[in-house]
Amino acid sequence: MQHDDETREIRIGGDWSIFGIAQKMPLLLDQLKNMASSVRPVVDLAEVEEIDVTGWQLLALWLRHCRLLGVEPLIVNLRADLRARLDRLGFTADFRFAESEPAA
Amino acid sequence: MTSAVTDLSRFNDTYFAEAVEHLEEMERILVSLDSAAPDAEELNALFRAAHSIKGGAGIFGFIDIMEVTHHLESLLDRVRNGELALAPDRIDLFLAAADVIAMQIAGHRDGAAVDLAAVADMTDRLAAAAEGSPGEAVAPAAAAEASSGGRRRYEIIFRPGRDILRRGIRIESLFAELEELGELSATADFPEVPPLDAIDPEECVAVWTITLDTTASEAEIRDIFEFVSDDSDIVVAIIDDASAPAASCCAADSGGGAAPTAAAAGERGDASVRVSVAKVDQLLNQVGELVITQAMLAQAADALDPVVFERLHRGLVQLERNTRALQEGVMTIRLVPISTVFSRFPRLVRDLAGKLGKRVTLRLSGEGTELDRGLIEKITDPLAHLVRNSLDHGIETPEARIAAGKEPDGTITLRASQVGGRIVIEVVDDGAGLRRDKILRTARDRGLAVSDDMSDEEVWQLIFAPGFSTADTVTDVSGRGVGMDVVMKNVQAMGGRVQVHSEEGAGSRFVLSLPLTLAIVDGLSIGVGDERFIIPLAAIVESFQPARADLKTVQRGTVVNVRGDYIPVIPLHEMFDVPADAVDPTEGVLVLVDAEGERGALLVGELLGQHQVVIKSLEENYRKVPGTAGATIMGDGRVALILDVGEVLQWNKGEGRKAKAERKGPAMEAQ
Repeated sequence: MQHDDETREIRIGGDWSIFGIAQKMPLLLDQLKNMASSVRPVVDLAEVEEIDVTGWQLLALWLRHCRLLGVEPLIVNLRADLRARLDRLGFTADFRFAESEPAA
Repeated sequence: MTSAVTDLSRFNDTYFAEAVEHLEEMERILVSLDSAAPDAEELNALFRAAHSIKGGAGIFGFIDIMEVTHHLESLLDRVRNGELALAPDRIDLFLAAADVIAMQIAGHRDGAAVDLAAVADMTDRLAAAAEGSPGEAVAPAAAAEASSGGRRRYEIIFRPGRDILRRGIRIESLFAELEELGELSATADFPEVPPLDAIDPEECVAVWTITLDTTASEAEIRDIFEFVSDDSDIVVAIIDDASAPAASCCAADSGGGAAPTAAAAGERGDASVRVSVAKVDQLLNQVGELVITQAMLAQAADALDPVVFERLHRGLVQLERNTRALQEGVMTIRLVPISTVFSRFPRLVRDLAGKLGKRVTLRLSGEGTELDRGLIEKITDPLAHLVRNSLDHGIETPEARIAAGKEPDGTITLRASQVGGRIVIEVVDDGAGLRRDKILRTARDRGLAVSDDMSDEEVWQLIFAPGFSTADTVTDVSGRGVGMDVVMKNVQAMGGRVQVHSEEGAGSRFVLSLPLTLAIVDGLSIGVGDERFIIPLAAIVESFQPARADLKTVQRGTVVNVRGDYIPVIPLHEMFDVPADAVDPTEGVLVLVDAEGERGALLVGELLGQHQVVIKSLEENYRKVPGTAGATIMGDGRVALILDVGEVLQWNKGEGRKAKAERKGPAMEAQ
């Protein structure tokens, strides 16, 4: 995960399956701690290589925590096949996509 | 944070066991299916079985199994929907596919060799068959019925167990499976949102509400959740039933729809639990030790004054009652119906009859008869040998049967029943029967000691000699003389016996008699000199002290007149070479025993009491002792041999007794 301070873009990548999810937790906690309600984060998922229920679930919970802090992150660059998986698994409601993002 | 995945192997075992059950179910249906007018429900059941195997294979990552079953499922789906006909060659293909899947399962489970070429070939054949041929005839009634189920909308609430992801279950696969049944939409939610730093990301905390538009039944939906149902909450309810009549709609609207479904699900969920045989055996062993301890306590308490120690005695009586109830309860866990063995034979008979050009009807009876699981595993091969033998050598070709004035179709009957304390399994055929002259001639050629005076029963036993075969031609079904001796050896190893009845031209009957259980027996303890023996109660008819006038000496020993029947007296001290306290039957006690209609009067010194004893294997701890079914530890810590009454009677009739008598002769002269 990379955080671009100028654009408030949060780039998320790598393995978000059960095999890699344990390593993602500290980074999400860090992002949440430094979240400021005045800036709307843009979460770029372009570099996600693999993601399963564990990944969707953790991101969905993280997004809910962001909302509790008054922040609504925008999701961008999710691959179409991953978007289809997200829709099939029913987590879509927790992800607010930028308007330019195609639906699955 | 806990580590990612998982001890999958224990769940794999569950999958393998269930997949094998599904294959057995498929095979059972396939061999009984009427290809001209297949039953719609049976076609659906076939599809469900294939679907479940495939679903599990996907979840547990057995991609090769998934691939074959996917093609099988597709083909079955087209058949059940009436798009393809159920021709006999398709049934053969389905059976062959089941064999391939069984091979793949064995490969994953046991590391057995998998013929990859056969797998690839089967995949191709299934795929080609699923294409069908244009204008193919369809079994109309079944097809119409199978596809007539109306669409329903189900709501499924799926609350997975928290560990489900760590167990390696892929929820994506479950959803993909559901999607194959119809139109799916799902919403994930979190009943609570814990603080982020309190979340274990490998745990599943989401709950899904799934809507599924499908023609599938609730059972088909539940099948998909089969491997996660143990630790997940799954509620399936119909929320819109397009196929239901108006009355049903109204009943559902009034609030009766979802509740019964959930209740039924709960009932099904609680119906059974899968436990490894090793655990049951361990439990059984511990109960066996408890029985011995209880017997020891009871014996020790016998020496105590019943008035002074009244409460102790009362407690011990209660302990005995509870121990017996516990023991019986545990024993029943190991009992399984013999149908689990019998169900394999329709396929065997079908295949072999086809191969041999014979027409055979297989009849099964007493399939509900229960016996110990250990016996079930060991009896399968001997029974298969006997059935093969009946098919190959017993049942004649249709032409030969017609020439002999019989129906062209032969019959093989497998019958099981519980007789006293034993399980009796019969393999009966109405074929040509055994040929006494041919068996005697072969025996002579092989240098066996035989004579024309031998009884039929003795002649039939010759077929159990190693390598004995009267077959004129060797086939790959039987006829190499390998088999019948193995049958005898295996059955004897279980404490069983094989009897043969045969009539030339009319058929043969092989009777296997097995102990009900391998673990515990109700017995009468008796004393012969200083030794103790246990006679199974089920074999005892009566015991008495004979009057001198009722005893007669004949060539082979002594017989006793029991209400007009002369019964051979069998002195146990002679058989087991132990010092006797009663050599004269009038000074001892005769215990009249019966084993499958044969009777004998065992001469013993004294009757000691009735016990329930735990059988310990002599073969495992020492060696096989003829005439015994094992040994046990008595309440006073002494070891007692448990008699195998059938073997004792055989010993008395046969060479054993003669050899003892011959040995005894010179010894007496020496004195």
